[in-house]
Formats: sequence, structure tokens, C-alpha cells
Amino acid sequence: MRACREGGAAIEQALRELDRAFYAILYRDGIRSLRDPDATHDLVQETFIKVWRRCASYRGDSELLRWIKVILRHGAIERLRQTAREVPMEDREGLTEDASRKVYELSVELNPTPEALACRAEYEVQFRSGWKRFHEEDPLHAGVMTWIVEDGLSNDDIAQLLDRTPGATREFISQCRKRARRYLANWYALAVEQGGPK
Amino acid sequence: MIQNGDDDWLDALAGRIDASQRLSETVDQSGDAPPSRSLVFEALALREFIHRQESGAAAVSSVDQARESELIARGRREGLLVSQKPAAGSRSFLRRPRWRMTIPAAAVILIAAGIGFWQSLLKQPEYVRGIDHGTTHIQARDPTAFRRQLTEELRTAGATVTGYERFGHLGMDVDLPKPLPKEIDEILERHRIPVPSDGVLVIEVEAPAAR
Repeated sequence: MRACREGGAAIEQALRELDRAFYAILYRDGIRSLRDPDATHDLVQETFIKVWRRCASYRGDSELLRWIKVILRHGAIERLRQTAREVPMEDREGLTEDASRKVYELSVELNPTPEALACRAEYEVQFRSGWKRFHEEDPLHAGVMTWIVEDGLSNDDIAQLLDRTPGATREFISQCRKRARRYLANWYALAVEQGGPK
Repeated sequence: MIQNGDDDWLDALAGRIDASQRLSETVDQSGDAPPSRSLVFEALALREFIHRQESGAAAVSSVDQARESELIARGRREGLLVSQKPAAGSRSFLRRPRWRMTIPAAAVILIAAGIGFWQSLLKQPEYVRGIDHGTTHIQARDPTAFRRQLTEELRTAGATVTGYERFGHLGMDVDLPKPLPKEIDEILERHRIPVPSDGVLVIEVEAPAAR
């Protein structure tokens, strides 16, 4: 930030320091959303350029990494929106209490037995397959869900990222939940059918 | 207090709800599960599986000279490093003869342009004072109203605008879509705001008496 204001030769060093300090972290964050190494590399470098251009607007009251991540995620969302299709989706059938409990019982933390671990491998395969398809076909919703898990985003954080009103953000979150059910239908079905590892 | 289902789902997915806490809290006397309870189970399972999937994301080296050079080159291409040039060489640029000739001429032109510009300001509600470190500074009689108006205009035209306030200056970060829509181009043209080459526009608005 200091170099940002000094300009000149300090900028080159500042860019190098930005790269060393944040590239790996931002790349991990970006690849989760874009799923494309080249596009992610380009996004991270674009983010560094934006950071430099916007450094005058860095208020210093938020953590630097958090501020940079918001810039990266805005860029990621912009790219995802270029391919995103808004498909209205009905919540087909809600999960029953019993079914959702069985899904939850897949948790290794709850079932650390060898039998449970072996059974879990099958769930992993189903989940990975559905999650991959979710990312491919609906990267915006899947990407935001990943950010929620990794950084604990709140409703307000998501509203700011997506530049939506609180009401529209709630609808977006609801859509995340419904779409996850659709893409992970086999994973849910397996849990319900087999009753989860005991 | 139980929120609506999606709020609970979000909180559980984000790790703000502890599983055991939520499971015990939501068991009621009748034995019926509240609607949000199943959503919490579901989100907790999703959270764990997503976390496991994503923790295996490709790792990259934190130091890579080639990557840094590529970034520097990109910064240069996008005009970030142009200010390096005047610093090169042992002689001050003010000592060079051509600068000795150019500066007085430029001063005359600037004064003439300044007078014309000042006269035009009497009619304009706002004007661009200049661009400093990537930030476009605009002076407006009513900064709040101007920022609100510009924000609405740009958002309506499809730009992403985030407002902020710093040291008493009202600012806005604008992400411009690529390619730049004609409507946005016209808005920027109308306010005499230069179009940034990288699609990122940072604007700060201040009242005339601020400086």
C-alpha cells in the first residue's frame, strides 16, 4: 500500500511482493470457482493490477487479504456470469427429516468406524461427480457455496459480492440450496437408500 | 430463536451453527422437527463434503520468478509502471534544454486552458479534476447527490458499483463490463470521465471547498 502511493520503481517491487504474498492463496480461491488453470492465472494477475489501481481506495479498516479476495471474487463472478444461465428451478420435493438426518450421518466425525469409512468412499464418488457437474453447469452458485464454506460468508457478504439487495440475495441462497439438491441428487439418494453408515 | 430455513441452511453451511448445539436446540416437546432442522442436517453434510473436495485444490508455488516477470510486464502494458521512466538517468529532467523550452510554453497553454476551463465550470455542476494513482477525482457542488446519481446511472446501464467513504471523500469502485456497453460509454462521456483501459474505474467526489 505504501508503494502504491509512492509509485515509480516501488510499484514493480510492490507487484512482486503482492505476487509472493498472495498469488498461491488467490489461485486456490480462484481455481475453485473457475476450474480452469489459465483463466485462474489470468484472474489473479488481473486482480493484482486492480489492487494497484484501487489502492487509493483501500480504507485500511478491513484485513488486506479480505479486501483483495473481494476484488478477486468480483472478477470471478463477472467471468462466471458471462457463461451463467439463469434457469428457474422449482424445489421438487423437500428432504424429509429422516432423509436429511441420514445425509448428515455420512459425516466422518460422527462415524469414525472402519465400516463407516469404507461405506463413505461410495458417497465420496457420488458427491464428487455431482459437485463437478454443478460447477460445470452452474459455476456461480457452486462457487458462492464454496466461498460460504471456506470463508463463512454471511448474507451481507454475499449481497455485497453479487451487488444484490438483501431480498435478492436470500433468493440466490435459496437457489443454491435447491440446485445443490438437483446436482447432488444421486448422493442424497444413496444416503437415503442405504441409510448412511451406522 | 429459529430463523427461516434458508438462514439456518446458510449458517450451517458457513459453520456458524454447531451441530450438537443445533440438534439439541431444535428438538421440541412433540417430537416434530422444525422445518429448518432438516435443512441444517443437510447443510452440515454439504459443508463437510465441499470442504473435503475443495481442500484438494491445486497448490502453486508462492515464489515464481517467471510469473512475477509476467506480472511486471502486464503492469507495464497496462500503464502502471510508466512513472519509472523520469527517474532513470543521473540528470534531472529539468536540466535538459528541451524541457527548459517546453515548460514556459506549456505554462502559457495551461493558463489559457485554465481560464477557459474555469469559465466552463460556472455552467457545470461537476467536473473531473484529474486522475491520481488510478483514482479519478471529481469536484461536484453536491458530492452526495452526484455520487448517487452516477451510481444509479451506471448500475442501470449494467456496471457493478460499490460505494465507499474515505477521509471525508465519497468514492465508488466501478467494474465496467467488457465490451463496454454504449450506454455506459455515453454516461462517462457526459460526465467527462475517461474510460479506463482495464475496465476498473475508481472515482472520488469532493465538494469545491474541500481543497
